[in-house]
Amino acid sequence: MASSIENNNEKLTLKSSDGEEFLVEKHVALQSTLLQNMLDSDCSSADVIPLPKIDARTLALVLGYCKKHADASSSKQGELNSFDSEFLKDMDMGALFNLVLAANFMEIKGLLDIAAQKIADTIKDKPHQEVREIFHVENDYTPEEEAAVREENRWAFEGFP
Amino acid sequence: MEETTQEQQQWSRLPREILITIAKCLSKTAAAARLDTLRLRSVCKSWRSSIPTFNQQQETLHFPLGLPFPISPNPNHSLRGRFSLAQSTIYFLQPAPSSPSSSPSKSSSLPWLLRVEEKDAEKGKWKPLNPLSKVSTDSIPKWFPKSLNLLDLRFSQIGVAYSIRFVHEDARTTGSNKEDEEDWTTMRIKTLMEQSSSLRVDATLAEEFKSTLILRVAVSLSPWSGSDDYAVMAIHNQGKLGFYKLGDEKWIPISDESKYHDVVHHRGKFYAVDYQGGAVVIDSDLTAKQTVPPLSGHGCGPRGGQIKFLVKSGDDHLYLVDKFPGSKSVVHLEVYKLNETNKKWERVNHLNDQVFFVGDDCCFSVSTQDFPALKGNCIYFPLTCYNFYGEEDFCDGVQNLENGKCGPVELFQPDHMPMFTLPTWLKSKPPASKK
Repeated sequence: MASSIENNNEKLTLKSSDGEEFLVEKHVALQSTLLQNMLDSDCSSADVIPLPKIDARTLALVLGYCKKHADASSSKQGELNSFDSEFLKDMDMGALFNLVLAANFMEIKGLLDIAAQKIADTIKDKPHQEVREIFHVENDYTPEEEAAVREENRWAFEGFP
Repeated sequence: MEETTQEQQQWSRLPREILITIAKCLSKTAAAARLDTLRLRSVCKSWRSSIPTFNQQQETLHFPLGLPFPISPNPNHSLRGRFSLAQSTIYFLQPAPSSPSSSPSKSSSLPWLLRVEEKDAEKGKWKPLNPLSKVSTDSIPKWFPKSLNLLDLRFSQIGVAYSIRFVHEDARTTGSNKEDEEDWTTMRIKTLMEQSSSLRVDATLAEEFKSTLILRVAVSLSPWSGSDDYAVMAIHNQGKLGFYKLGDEKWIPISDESKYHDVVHHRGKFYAVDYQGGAVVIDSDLTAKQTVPPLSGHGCGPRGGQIKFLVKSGDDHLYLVDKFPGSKSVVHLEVYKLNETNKKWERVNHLNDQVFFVGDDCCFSVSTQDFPALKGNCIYFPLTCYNFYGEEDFCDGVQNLENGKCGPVELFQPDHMPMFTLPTWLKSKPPASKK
């Protein structure tokens, strides 16, 4: 009721962590559950919504996704699916990391799902050594933990005479 | 340089809920979930603490599952017990990269085929099974390793198989001897075979045996969306279909006069093939609808000897493998691909560089793109052969669809034998298994 009056112009401004402002149509912003809840609960607070965790490059990607999905509505699922698969196709792991965090923070379920799936596809069937390499993750186990991990990964076979 | 360091910390600090979402994406089947969980937990401290162990994952199905017995209502015997649905997983094992920086993503060494069934999740105990044959699992070959560590190997899940065993009520109440539980049907086969050789077959025993024998099982489940979708289609009583949904009290018999050889879950529906190659689709209304006519020129009766198998290929097509059994010189396979538009089986002489494994109780397919060391357009299957003493035995057979040659792997593709025996790269491991 009162909440909708302020946004009757159907636009709102989002501000990235590095200070860039994005003018976004309201129906596009509504793809994000976080923004939806903010708009529903209280809109008088500010004209500009700050997103302190998301940089401009990532936010631009996120909004590109939201716009496509908001505009396509329900009719063209096939087109959306091909858009989704193209969207992440050549993305490097650093950008993907920022994107999945942004999708999680802004609560954009569709984007979170495809980003998580992309990450899963990248590490599927790969030994943990390769997963560490892909993500630049260090082996930070203590010798005791390392031993516990090895034990957890040990398969003993039964049925010997 | 600084950016790399930042990135290093980033991924290990991925929020718990995102990691769990990724884990769910990884594991489309319950069979894959265990291994994927282990892998993620092995990466670093924070991932290990974020991902619960497989046994703690309440929403995942844990096998074996108890199912009601019998499938047909009103059996003409008083046998009591239940069915136990077991899941076994088929893996290709390859050496893991020894130095991570030089690791190619696809190993060029020939993978080792391993099929295991979980025995005791808590203690990490597994039972190895013959990958292609359901017989001769009593004894494990001498060369078989006593244990393997997943951290040292590259495990690729290539198939999942389900089997249903009958558990006798007595075994359940005493509950002490696990091996006896499993062997009820096997024990009855032996008794019946002895009786038949002396021509004094106990009719009740034969009926009991028939009602406990499940030929093939197809399972459909989505482990992460709750157990509600989980359903079983089984071929019982020498060719009849029965359907069971988790939580139900009884099986639902699919009434139909055909005699089925195999059943799979493909593109959201169950497909069953009968002894003539005719295929039916079973949808949510649980009626069998004829979808593919029988193979032409199949005049043979239900006991014609040929066995039909359904194989889902890696590129999501359905194939029919017609196995002409017999000893070495007679045995061969014919392969048909389902033409989805014309609803017809079409004979093929290549598999688009896929490799099929057609076992007694499970079929699976891999692509040579994923495993370049394999030879494409080949089918591996258990072959009846005779051992040194002239006794009937099973060995691994292969048919090359390109040239039609068919026979024991040992003779026809000796270079591929490491797939079925212990590969040299595994042998050369430090002798940790020696006592």
